[in-house]
Amino acid sequence: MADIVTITIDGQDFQVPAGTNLVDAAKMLGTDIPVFCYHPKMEPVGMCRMCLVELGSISVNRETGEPDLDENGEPVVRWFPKLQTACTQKTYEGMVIRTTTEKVVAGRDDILEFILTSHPLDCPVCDKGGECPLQNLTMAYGPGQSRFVFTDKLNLDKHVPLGELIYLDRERCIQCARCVRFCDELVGDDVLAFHERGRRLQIVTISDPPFDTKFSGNTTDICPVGALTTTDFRFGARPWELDEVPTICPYCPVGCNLSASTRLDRDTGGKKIIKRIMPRQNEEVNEIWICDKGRFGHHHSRSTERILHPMIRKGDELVTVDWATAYAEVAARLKKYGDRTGFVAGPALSNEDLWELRKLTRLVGEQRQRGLWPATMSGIEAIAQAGAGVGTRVQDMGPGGAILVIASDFEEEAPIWWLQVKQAADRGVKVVVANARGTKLDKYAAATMPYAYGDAVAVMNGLAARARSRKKIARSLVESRVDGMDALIDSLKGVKVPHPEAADLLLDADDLLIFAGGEGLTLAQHGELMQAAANLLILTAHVGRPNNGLVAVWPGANVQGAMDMGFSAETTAALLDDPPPMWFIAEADPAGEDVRAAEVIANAECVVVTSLFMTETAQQADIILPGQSFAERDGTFTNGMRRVQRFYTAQGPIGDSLPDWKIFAHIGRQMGGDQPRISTGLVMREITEKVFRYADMGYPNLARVEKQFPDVGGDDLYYGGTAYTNTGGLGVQWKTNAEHEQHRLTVRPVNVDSFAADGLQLIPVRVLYDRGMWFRVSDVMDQRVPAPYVELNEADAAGLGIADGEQIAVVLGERTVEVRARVNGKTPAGYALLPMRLSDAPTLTVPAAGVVQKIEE
Amino acid sequence: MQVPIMPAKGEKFIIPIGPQHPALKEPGHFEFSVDGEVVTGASLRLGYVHRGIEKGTEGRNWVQTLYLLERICGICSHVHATAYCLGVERLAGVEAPPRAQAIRSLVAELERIHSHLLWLGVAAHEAGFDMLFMHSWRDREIVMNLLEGLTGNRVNYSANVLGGVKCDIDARQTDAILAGLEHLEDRTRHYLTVVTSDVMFLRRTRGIGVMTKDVAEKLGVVGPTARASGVARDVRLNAPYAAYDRYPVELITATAGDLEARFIVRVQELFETYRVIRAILADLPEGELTVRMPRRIKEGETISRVEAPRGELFYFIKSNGSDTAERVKVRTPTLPNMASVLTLAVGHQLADMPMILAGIDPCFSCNDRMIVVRDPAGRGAHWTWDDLREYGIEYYR
Amino acid sequence: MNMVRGFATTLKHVIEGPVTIEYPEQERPVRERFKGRHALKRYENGLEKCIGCSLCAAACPADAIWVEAAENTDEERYSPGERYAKTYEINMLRCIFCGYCEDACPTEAIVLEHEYRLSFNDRYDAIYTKDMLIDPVPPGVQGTPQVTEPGKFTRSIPDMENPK
Repeated sequence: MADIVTITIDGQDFQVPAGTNLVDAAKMLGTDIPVFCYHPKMEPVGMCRMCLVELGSISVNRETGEPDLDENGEPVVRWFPKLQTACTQKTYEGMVIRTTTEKVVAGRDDILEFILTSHPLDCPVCDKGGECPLQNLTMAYGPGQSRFVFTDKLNLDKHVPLGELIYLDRERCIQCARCVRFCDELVGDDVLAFHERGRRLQIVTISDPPFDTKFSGNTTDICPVGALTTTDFRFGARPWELDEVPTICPYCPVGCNLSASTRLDRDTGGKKIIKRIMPRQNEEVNEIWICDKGRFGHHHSRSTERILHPMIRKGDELVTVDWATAYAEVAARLKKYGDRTGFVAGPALSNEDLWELRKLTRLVGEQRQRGLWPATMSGIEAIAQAGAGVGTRVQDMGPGGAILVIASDFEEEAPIWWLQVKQAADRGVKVVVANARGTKLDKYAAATMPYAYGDAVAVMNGLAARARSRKKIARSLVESRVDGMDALIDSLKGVKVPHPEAADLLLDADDLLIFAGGEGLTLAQHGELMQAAANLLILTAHVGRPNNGLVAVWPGANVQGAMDMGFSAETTAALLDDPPPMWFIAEADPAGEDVRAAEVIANAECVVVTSLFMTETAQQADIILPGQSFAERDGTFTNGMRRVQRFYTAQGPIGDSLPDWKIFAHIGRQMGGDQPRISTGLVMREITEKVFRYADMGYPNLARVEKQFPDVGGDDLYYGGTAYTNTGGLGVQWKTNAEHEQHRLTVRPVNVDSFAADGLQLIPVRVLYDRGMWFRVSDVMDQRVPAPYVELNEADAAGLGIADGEQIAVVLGERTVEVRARVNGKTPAGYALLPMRLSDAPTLTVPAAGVVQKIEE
Repeated sequence: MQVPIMPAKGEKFIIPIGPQHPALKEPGHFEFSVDGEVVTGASLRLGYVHRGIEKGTEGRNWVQTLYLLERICGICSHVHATAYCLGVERLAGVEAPPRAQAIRSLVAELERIHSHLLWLGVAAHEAGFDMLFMHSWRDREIVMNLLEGLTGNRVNYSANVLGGVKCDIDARQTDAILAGLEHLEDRTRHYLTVVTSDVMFLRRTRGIGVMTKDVAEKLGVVGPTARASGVARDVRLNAPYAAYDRYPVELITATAGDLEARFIVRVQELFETYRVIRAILADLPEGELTVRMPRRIKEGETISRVEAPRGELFYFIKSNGSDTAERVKVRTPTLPNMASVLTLAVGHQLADMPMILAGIDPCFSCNDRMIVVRDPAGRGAHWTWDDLREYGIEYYR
Repeated sequence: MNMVRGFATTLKHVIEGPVTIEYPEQERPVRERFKGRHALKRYENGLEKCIGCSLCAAACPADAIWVEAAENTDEERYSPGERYAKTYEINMLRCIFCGYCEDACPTEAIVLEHEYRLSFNDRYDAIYTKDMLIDPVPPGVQGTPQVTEPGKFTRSIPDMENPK
């Protein structure tokens, strides 16, 4: 803990930790020091001079160490002769500031007059108007009139596209550099810079393609004026007209808290629609950042391509039916096929959907084949034992901590975790990246542990062996609570440690957090990787406390929840190996993503799907039931750190669509199940009673909000926007076995077999901007989605006679996919990287041998 | 609201009047118990046009609330706006410029002419003197046109804004107003002659509904009704607001306390009003029309009183420091006056009831708000949801 | 004698003629400041003054105004600057004619004019759309949208004068 010091603000004494930024300290104590360039999430620069205060120190007698006293017995304060910028000051003992004196008031007034010399009177048309820090501070502290003449105003370009997502208004810019610093310092993408000098100083983008970062939208949030606005929301509405609805991003396992700004809209027949997505502050999850996919990928909630009515296939045609008919028909099919039905849940179903689906599987028969899509990752047991401790916050980790990211292209799979880990690396956390290929995080890593595809488990096992050989095993934990130690220790004898130096970085750290992805791993291997990670963490007692443990980079927003509700990827794999005649697929598109699944589903006798769009799978379906997107309904998602978070209804339903849980419950009713619940809250109440890990997850608990720091949004005047305010709840994490004292932990030896590299191996990789149906319809992002491609090593490409940029064919069993070749030196030889969900045709979700060839003319 | 001056037990006839048009074209429900033609007891039930305006203020910002409150009354809209503006300005610690204050007073006085002439017509109509009704309403058009010329609207003028007024007065406006007043003064003299000398009319007014000063004080009657009973009370004099300290009015009182006195007081007040308007126009301060108001009003509470044409209008305003009022409480002058009707009714002929009611210049819709005067059931000051529900069921039974 | 006076009065009023007017045929002129139905104004070059800023809607105490904005381009220009009102509706049943929209307008686009004959058979008819509210195009110039030369109409708010 930092030392506590006494500072005096406007004559009142306060106790604060030493070294706190003065602006933050004052804000915490209830005194507003206005700022433009300072942002609590970034290092101060002192550019705007808005935070001027009178600063002084209590004079201390050097001999006695006692404060000098004046004739009235008051301590003598030595004042700086001029006003000082508060944002560049750290608190120290005896600090005295004055924020309300005439001098300070005059100082702020003058600074605002300067800032406003060239700021246009655009407020009526400016998208920021109404939630604009400059507007607020001018009203609060500014001069009533300017002494500058209007002819002296600089007229600069008002409509400068910085890439296709963000517009820059050069006139409005006040050169605070928040955006430049965000991209430079926080993200590390060298995309924005200043150009020219003096009054002509302006922001330019220096990357190609312009503003090439996955976090560009955040610059519009932190911009204290309306200089940066998004294309998506441009002139969409005035901020005060918007209703903010708390919601959760449906795309990746981070589970970013979002605020959906909704408004009635004439173009959609006077219905309420999402006008924009803003981040919602949750310091436990995404702080105040979100990636561009979450921000701009909301258009599927009201796309014209949505399925509007239940449909049943009659011959070759799909016939629109009403819900009652659809329920009866599905129930009849389920009764007919009974246990010979395979259930597959998608990655973004809510916990309530999954629970109702689970109840439906119980009604259908004894087998309860509850599969999960995509079937690429497993290892819920490892998470249940050694998952990241409750209260884990990457941003709390300091130089004593270490983070291992293994088998994941982190920025593509979980952008906000990537951002947090990258910042942790900047703070001195030892970040170690283990992957078969280079990723963007390598640049910030303290060490890397490259390996050949398929060897990830061996690398992880090697770490455990290193822990054993360096006697890092935590005796007290192991002896009291862990089963299976002897077998594990035996198995670790003589195991080769691939990267001992990097391993030592991790083993010597006080805190160890492991992010495990699934890239280049078969399903079985992934289970072993997770177990190996759990072994390591348990052995070294990096479990059961914050900032320690295992986090899986799941392939979807609620894969964690699906596993908690009893769905598993292994079941899907088994179902694909031994296909049942009937499939019940909920909000997933196996036929559009995987050639093998496409084959199986094409040959199925009966397929029932719930879907938002006419996906490949839906096109093969006999019964299609229109589900609802995250915006049209409420529910909960469980993120990759096992935090259960609520999202709320933001807009009305499209067509006849119903939330999935209701669909499943109604079908269940036809099968002799309970009367459907009337709200998700009641479904969750049932879950809390039946699933012990979810016992605390009742809706009131999930909706609880505590005061967060830094204090952004709400009544705050200068960090911009009211959307930040979290009114929807911070969510609750479920506890791992390690955190339940009475639970024993289990370790076991892992199987380190690699797959046989026979010919070219195709490795499916995840990319953030893919062509999944949900994301594809957000056409504002079109230019960011790459054309379908495959990455090849130069040597392999030369051997096949393939040039960079050439359109080539990838042969996947009986199917062929045409993609563009990207030839580079980064891809390991013998492997071809094929992004998932990027082609219109199905590709691969698990590694497989394949053929890449030139297209024969 | 239910004022429980209930008929004594054993009385046989109870004549219900209303709720549709109890004499005036506004809803209210009276029950008179009679002994032959003579009224022996009266009770009153109000609330048929409750609009939830006070509650409505809690969902609007300070500026929007002004326009809502201005619509409490269709006749004396300006005084509501003035009372509210003065109160909010006091809370915010700003003061409207002198010119704005003078214009506020000016519009208020024009409105008083409008209101009194309207009342004169209504009261004459109740007395069966429709000639006077038509003439006074014809003359009322003059002042309504003046108000339209000045503010743009014939009623609900929107002259006030927080921190000042919206409309300025130029020489042309001044001339128009002075010319209008010239004519009106002439007519008003005629009306004074009529109400004091027309024999038929005096039979409906002289000695009817006599309220002594003591009774008036006891019932808390306000405005011209009180002044006709010799109560020397006028907010413009007792606690000058807007520009009334600069342009003082003279108190008009009468001692008879009967309906005739109420006619005389109101008509004579018109002369005083003409005089004040001329004084304002002759000496209108120069300067700004508005001062800047903060969007959020400082935490605090205040009361604001103004003299509406019907008497003292009372506002309570509470701010919690946000851009919305936490509570705005309105007490319109009809409310205290209404009690006097019930008292005065006793002992008079049933046929006099419309005149006695009209004599206080009642305004029902202004008045219809939730007020607990005295709680017969002994419930506390706080009404629970169940209490309200029970009350509602009882009310519409 | 009294009878003669009575007849004289009657005769006087007969000679004075009626003070009422036959309304639909004959209309009473309104005063200059009269606040009647709104009109959306145009500049002399035909461009709309309204920039879709929604400040009128924000100021409206009765929530009578609905504005949706969209972006101008030089190929399809409705108003100077970047923004124009795609949808502009006033619900005349809600409007209280206080004129606060007029005060709030930064470009003097919305003006309460003298039209007061607002009656409807259907509640939906009370919603006046932009087409109904906007002034006709001045003679001799093109209506909106216009094709304009790039870089000419970049400012939404008319230039202000230097303080004196």
